[in-house]
Amino acid sequence: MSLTVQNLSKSFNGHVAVKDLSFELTKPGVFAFLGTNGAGKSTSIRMILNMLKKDSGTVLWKGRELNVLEENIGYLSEERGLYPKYNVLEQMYYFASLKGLKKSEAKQSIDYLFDRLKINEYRKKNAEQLSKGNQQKVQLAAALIGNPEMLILDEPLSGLDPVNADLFKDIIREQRDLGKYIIMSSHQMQTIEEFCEDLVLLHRGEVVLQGNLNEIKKSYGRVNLSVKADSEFLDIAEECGLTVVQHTPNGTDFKVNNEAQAQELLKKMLEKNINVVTFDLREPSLHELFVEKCGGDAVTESEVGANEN
Amino acid sequence: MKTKGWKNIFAFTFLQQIKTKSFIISTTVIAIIVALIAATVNILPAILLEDELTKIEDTLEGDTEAFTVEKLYIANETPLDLKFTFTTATMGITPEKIDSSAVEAKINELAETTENAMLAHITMTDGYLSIDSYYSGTNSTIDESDCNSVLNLMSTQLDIQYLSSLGLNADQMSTVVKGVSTSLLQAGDEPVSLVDELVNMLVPMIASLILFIFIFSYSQMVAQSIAIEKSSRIMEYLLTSVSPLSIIIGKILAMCSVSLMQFLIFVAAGAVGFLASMPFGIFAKIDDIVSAVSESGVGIEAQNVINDIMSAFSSVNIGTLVILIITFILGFLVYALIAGLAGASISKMEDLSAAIQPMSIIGVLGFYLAYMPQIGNTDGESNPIAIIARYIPISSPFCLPSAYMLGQMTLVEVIIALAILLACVIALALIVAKVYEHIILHTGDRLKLSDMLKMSENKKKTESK
Repeated sequence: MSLTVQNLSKSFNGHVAVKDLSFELTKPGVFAFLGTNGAGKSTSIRMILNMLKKDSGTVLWKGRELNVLEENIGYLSEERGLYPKYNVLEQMYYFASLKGLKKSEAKQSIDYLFDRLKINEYRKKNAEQLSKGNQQKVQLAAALIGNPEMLILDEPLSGLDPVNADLFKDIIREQRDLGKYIIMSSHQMQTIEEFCEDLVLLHRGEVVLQGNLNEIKKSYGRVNLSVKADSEFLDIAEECGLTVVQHTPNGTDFKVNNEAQAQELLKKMLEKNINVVTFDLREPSLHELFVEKCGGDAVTESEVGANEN
Repeated sequence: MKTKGWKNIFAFTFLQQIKTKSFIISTTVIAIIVALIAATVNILPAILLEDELTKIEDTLEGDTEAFTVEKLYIANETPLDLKFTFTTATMGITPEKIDSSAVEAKINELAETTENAMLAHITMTDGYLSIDSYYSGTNSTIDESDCNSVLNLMSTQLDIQYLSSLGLNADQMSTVVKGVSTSLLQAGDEPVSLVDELVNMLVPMIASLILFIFIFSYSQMVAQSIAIEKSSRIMEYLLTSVSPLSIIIGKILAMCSVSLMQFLIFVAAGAVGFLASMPFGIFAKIDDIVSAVSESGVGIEAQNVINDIMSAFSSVNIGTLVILIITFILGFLVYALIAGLAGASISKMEDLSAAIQPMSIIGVLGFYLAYMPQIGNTDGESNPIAIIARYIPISSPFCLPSAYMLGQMTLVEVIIALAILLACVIALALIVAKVYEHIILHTGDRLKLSDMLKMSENKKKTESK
């Protein structure tokens, strides 16, 4: 069982929204789908789910063209919605019926999910009476109803408080451990690093980074250096040819060309009896990779609008 | 299958719609009003004709006290040996014969007397019989309508006795007694009574108004429902389980069923109101009225009112109801399909009123085409605009059933009009099926029809590459 996305492309009125997107999920797990606002993530997801016609490309699931109406796929969209005036429980039964569940199966599934998401007390309320976080929980329950084989979660954690974010993470972890194929988009890079082994990073509709996260990081090497000391050392860093990236309360971040350059700085600081508090030479974080690939050329609001139309 | 899941959408939309407070309240209030109106049609004549109904009752029960004619003087100047029967069971009057020479004196006496009496002076001139009658003056308590009842009965009995004297048998007499109905019409005109005039004008007007309200308001709800799902992004979730076509089919059929159900609730409320009012209404006394009229001549006015009411509803039958329901469904589909496109063309609720504006213009135009030609049209004549309106799909749903009910359209003409309406529904359904799935996830500014068709064409080209 695998998901293969090949050469997906989409344009709106001559504006390229997604260009030649390809990736593959060969084993269960969480796949990160990253990009700036308007980079083409939601458009790609809609094409994968066949809500939006593709200009070109194919989406294969279990070796054949994905027909979303015939497969059991859970989807949590970026811009969430429930019927505001309708009872939450009735909406859940409705969604379950659309997934082809019998009433008894739906009841079992809803009872479990409401219990797991701690929203049992809201089942009789109208959606508009729930807080945004609780509405989000109901929608996650709707995505999970019927035990889908593949889950597509578009920004599942946005707007959640830390407690509920942890609850969502636990559930995503459970789903991963159950052998589900999960595509998750998020702007919380730390979360992505917690879950995802593989990723694709889109910028202006094009793939700018793709592959296994650990391998990508390794390929960059340990070139990020954070240093904190009791006294001034920036002149020494300059002597060693280091470039300051930023100053933070935790010290100063440098970009080094190689590990030897960092070691030279440490050696010189010690020679001058500077008390080193922190000296951290590490691979780039996903956040840093993201900013490096997309940071200098963010998509404007008008471009986001053009992508949607 | 592209329409998989439409039944679930139908069921959910239907149930949620009938559970809304606005639906429950409006249905209850209007059903009560309809029931009251139906009861009024039954009860009001009974109230207005209370005196006459009391007399009918008293007459049938043999209660002569209530009947104000106590004495009847008969002066017979004809060669016939006349006998009039006023049984105790009916009026209880004892007739007294007087000489024709005493007529003048009796009339003067009646003018002053306190006695409730009547004088019938029967004469025959050139073979023509006549009864000149007089009743007591203002010192008495005699009722003119009672005198009329006596006179009616005498007239009938006089006819029979005269014809019998000529040698006619019972059947021949029955035929003659029924009389010859006469009318005076300009060549080419149809006979029209006052009730007919009112029915000819008011039924089409009221019917077009009711049909317009039902069809138009529920079509708008289709647009609103789709717009809510789009603006709240539920649509994206739904599309992982069902196709856009299933969504619009389920919604339109659900709204159609809700409106039809509400309509039938009102019809049932009318029936319940009418039946519940039976003990107090004029129709409960229909048998008594018929008996009283045939036996004693009392109750003519009540019988006329009943005949008028029954005549007004005589054209309501199963055939009319079937045509009404078919027209309603097809008319609803025309407007609901347009509304579905309007709802799908927007992504923000605030754009909804602008999106349904073209549909509103079409709807109002169709309504006025059906409604305006009926104003002042009391003779049931069909003017050219009214005839054309019955075949135009935007107006025919509002005027076709009443035109058929009033006999202004033949069954063949109705079938032709329905076929045109059906063709329009099919054409619209094809356009909607072609366009809908391409615009359903559109976000941003409201789409015009040309934009929708262009998008659909572009997608088609892309797919064929």
